[in-house]
Amino acid sequence: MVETPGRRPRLSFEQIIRLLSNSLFFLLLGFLLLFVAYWNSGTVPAWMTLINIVLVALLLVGVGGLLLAGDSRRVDQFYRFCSSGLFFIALGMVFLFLAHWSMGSAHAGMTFVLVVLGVAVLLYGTGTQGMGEFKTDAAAAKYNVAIAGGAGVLAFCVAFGIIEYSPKMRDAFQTEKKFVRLLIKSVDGSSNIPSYAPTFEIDGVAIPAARRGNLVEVFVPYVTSELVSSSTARQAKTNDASPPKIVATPDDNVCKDAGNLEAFAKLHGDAVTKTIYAIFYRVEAKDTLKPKEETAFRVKLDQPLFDKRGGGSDYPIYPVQMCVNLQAKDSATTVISQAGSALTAATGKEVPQNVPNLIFNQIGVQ
Amino acid sequence: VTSKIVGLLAAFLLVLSGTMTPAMISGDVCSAYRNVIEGGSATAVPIVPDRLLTNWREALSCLVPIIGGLNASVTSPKFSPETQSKFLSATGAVRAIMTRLSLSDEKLKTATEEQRRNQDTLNDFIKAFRGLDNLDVTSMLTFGARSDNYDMRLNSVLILGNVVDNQTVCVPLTHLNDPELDKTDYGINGRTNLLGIIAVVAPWALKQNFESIKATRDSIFQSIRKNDPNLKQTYALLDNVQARLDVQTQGTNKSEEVPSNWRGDCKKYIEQYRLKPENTRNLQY
Repeated sequence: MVETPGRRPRLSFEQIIRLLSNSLFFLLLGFLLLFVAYWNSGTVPAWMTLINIVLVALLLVGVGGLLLAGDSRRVDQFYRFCSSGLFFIALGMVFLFLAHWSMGSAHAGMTFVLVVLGVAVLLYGTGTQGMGEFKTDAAAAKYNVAIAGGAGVLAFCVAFGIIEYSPKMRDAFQTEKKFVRLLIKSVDGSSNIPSYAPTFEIDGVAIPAARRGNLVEVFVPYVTSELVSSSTARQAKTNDASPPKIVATPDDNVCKDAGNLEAFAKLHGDAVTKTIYAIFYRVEAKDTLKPKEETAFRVKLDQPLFDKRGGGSDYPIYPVQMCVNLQAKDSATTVISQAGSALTAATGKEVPQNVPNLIFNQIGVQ
Repeated sequence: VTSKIVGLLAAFLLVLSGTMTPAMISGDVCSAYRNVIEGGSATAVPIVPDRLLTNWREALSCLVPIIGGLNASVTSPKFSPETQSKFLSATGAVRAIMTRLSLSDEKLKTATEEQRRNQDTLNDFIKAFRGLDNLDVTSMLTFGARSDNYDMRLNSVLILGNVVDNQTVCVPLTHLNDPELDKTDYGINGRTNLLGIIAVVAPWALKQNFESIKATRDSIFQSIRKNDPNLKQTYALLDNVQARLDVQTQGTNKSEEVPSNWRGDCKKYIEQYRLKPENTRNLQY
């Protein structure tokens, strides 16, 4: 420390390093981990989180600058506080509180990271820090910093491992059913799905579904072992000389809009196919609609393509939407069979005799 | 003073009610239909609820202008997703009304005279539609009948096949003379559909329509590949058009001129469609 008579003591380089190695280091490390976790969980766009972190970091530096204002005594006080066990216990509790507070809305992985961080920092405050406070000479201080760094790195490694390998960790312990949401809608302007009570089943076992307006959301169950889970697995499967099998022709039930067909074209042929048998029972008296419609929907369990926006990774949306046509064909035939019935002879003109029938009725609309 | 204020207010309200035009009134009524039809998205087609179709005359007076209003945004048989959604929604509603009346007609065949009285029929619907439509509406339905979406083709043909007449048949005829029509698979389907529509009018066609139908039919017959199995239905319909034209005699509609104002509208439509001169020679307006 450089002391100048009559002036406030100035910060030395060593003090700045000590300061950073304690409070700001841990805070920034924590925020970095939060950023990585948010980015991975997909709940908040990466750029938004990054901006938040930069703003918080600037705020911290600004507040620190105002509080300390280059006064070495205050820095020493702040340093001692930041090195105390109480500080780390409080910091750990803040992390644990954040985990508890965001548990309902944040992804489970995010909560896990916060809990790990909170516990790690709390433990550091109760154990390691106490040991560090006991020693006063320079060599011991270095030893103390090494332990603190070790705890931080350990927490960082654990958190990184959780984030990086979370799918594999989850898959290893998760044998229960998962669900992908299949959206079934109508696009013909007549097939009113709310007029029906649909049932869905796979191999005779009923599966859950929910209606939202003029579409039905079917929860297709699967287990992890059925998935083509990653591009590596895909590559391994397709390395056997044969080219990757891409599903060539869409079923009739696949909605034919350009975006949907594009999504369909990306589906991998090797993915396990689930066939959902559906029966739509009409519950309203409507002549324009079929009284009952039996159909089947084929779903390819190509997990990398599942849409995790909205429902997150627990209830992703199947990228290809299905369309159902519930219009009664008989009604169309009845309408077209009357074509021309309202045409008449002009005033004073004869009615044509022996008019051949319209063959349009037999050919149907193309 | 109070009585004067009340009197002035009453007078103001009377004047206001007198200035309310039918269009303003129907505008309020039709907003419910517009809200439903325009409330969809590129991927979801809204369905007009049954409660709005109960009074079919009111529904028709709103739905037909909505269909015609889409004409400004359509210049090819490939509609934008938003226009397609609105078109399917509006034509689906019209089709639902037609189906209801058509099935009602079937039931009325076995009904007594008393039961038939005051019952709306499909012919009533067609008359009402023709009273509301114009070449914009027919143009939209014709583009729909040759579009790249089967549901649009189906709805369009079911409506147009019933409402087409001597006033509007020039629109499908114009499209049949478009050299781009058979360049795609859906275009060939569209041509089959449009041939079916002109076949409806053929036995009743007035002079210029008769000549245009005949010239267009002959032109298509000469241009298509012979013995192509994919064009079997096109051939069958060309024969059907010819057979239905052949029933006309000198005493039937073909000896009656198309009214000049109808011909004027058709000419204007053909000009707007921008066919090349060599493709308009079949259109005798």
